Amino acid sequence: MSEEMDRESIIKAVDEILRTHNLPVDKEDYEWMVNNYPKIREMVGKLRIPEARYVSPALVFSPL
Amino acid sequence: MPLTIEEAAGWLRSGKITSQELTAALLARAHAYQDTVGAFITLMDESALAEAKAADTNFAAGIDKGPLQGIPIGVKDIIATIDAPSTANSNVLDPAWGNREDATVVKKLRQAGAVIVGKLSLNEFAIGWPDPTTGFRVPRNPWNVAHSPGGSSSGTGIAVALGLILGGLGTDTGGSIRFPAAFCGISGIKQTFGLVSKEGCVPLGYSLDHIGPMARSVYDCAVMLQVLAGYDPLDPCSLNVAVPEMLAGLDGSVEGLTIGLPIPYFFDNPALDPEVKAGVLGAVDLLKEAGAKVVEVALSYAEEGSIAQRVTMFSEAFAYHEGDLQTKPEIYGRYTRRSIREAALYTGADYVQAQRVRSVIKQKLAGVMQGVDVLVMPTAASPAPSFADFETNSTKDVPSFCGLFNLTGSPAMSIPVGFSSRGLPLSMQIVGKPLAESTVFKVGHAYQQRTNWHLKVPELTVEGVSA
Repeated sequence: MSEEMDRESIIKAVDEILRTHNLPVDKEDYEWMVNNYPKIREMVGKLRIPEARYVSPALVFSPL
Repeated sequence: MPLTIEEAAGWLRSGKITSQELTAALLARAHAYQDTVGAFITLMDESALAEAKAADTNFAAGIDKGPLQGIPIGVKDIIATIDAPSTANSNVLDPAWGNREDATVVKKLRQAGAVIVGKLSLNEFAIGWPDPTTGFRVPRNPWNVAHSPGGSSSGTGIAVALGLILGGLGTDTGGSIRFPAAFCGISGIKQTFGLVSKEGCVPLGYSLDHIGPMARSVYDCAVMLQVLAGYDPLDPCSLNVAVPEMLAGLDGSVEGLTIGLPIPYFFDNPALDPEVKAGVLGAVDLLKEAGAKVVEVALSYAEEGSIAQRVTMFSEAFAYHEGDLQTKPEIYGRYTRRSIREAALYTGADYVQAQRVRSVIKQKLAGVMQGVDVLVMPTAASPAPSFADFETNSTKDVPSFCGLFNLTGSPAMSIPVGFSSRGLPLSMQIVGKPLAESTVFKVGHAYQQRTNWHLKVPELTVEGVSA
């Protein structure tokens, strides 16, 4: 994913996330998020394993 | 001074030492080492000595509450105690949070006659990396103060290693008991999820958090876990099951047991330090000589499982911290807020997908465990890193061999297996089936009956005190 994203798209995505969550960040933390956003999206992309396609999540809810 | 709970319990009962003498001596050591290693956030001299006096009174009256009576114990400062503040090593946590009664685990320790000597340092909110600008002491590795003691239960690891306490409580959401145990050269276990109540502990990852024992020996951890374990209706994750007999298998034998070595990811990982690998394989050879059968196995999706643990942990932590990150982010240490805020970059689907991977990895692990009694692997990919080498991204770039077992809820223990050429502890992790802590202890104890790595004490001298 990192190769597919240009810096402008990354900045746009990070800005939107920060606005949605109402998260103030300083300049250094902002740069960290922009620099790491593609790596983190690539990392979570690895969770889409075929074997989990029809598996229920490990979440338990009881109405009682 | 006695090195272990087991030894101290004998001394206390034979009259070789009183709990008041033991507690006073360890408190003096703790104060002397504070500026060098920063193991404690709060030392509780007055209440500890009063508890020690009560323990001695009980001994004199023939009242014996068990092996922890009169034993100096420390509590990670993210767990509530009635007689000391709880900070979570953070300026963010409202001090009012700690104005409450003891956490369930602390109540159990006190009921068993333990002496609570202080609140131990940690990484802020049990995550991140120490940030000196927060005003809290930076905990340091007693084997080399230029290196990390591991986190997040840093103070517990340091204090046990240096003999400032004989046992302590840590918490573990992705390795936070096992990493400091590994880096400080002691023993520590996170038991089956839900076996020990986490009521009264500031949460990090609700579905991954464990409170567990850290001590010098496997035997001591087993003794502590026997006291700590049990159903607690105040913890929605608590398991309502019979508590296993933790000491049942501690006979020094591994005859008839099968040890699985998960080679892919854990042993063939390019990030694995050769000295760590050699140390763990040497320990496995010793267990093999002692009668264990050793087989190679493969745990599928280990890397994906580690990612699922990370996504779960940060997402659950972000849910807890989101409000404070919106209104007062500058009060957090830099590395804490950066770590937790990573979860803002995930989606809701990512979190659910992590739980689906969790289902898969749980099934895969159960399949592997059908053919073995325990798995053995390195606890960490390298010995304790130096502070100078730290990078904020390091936890993502270095493979985690621990977090996977928080995801599955399996019992997992770290024990020392030697030292690197630079004098830093090496460690192996022993993973068992759910509620099979006694088997994990059996293997670890058998190893410690044949080695003395766990009895080594750092030669760290400060004014007036030496190891």
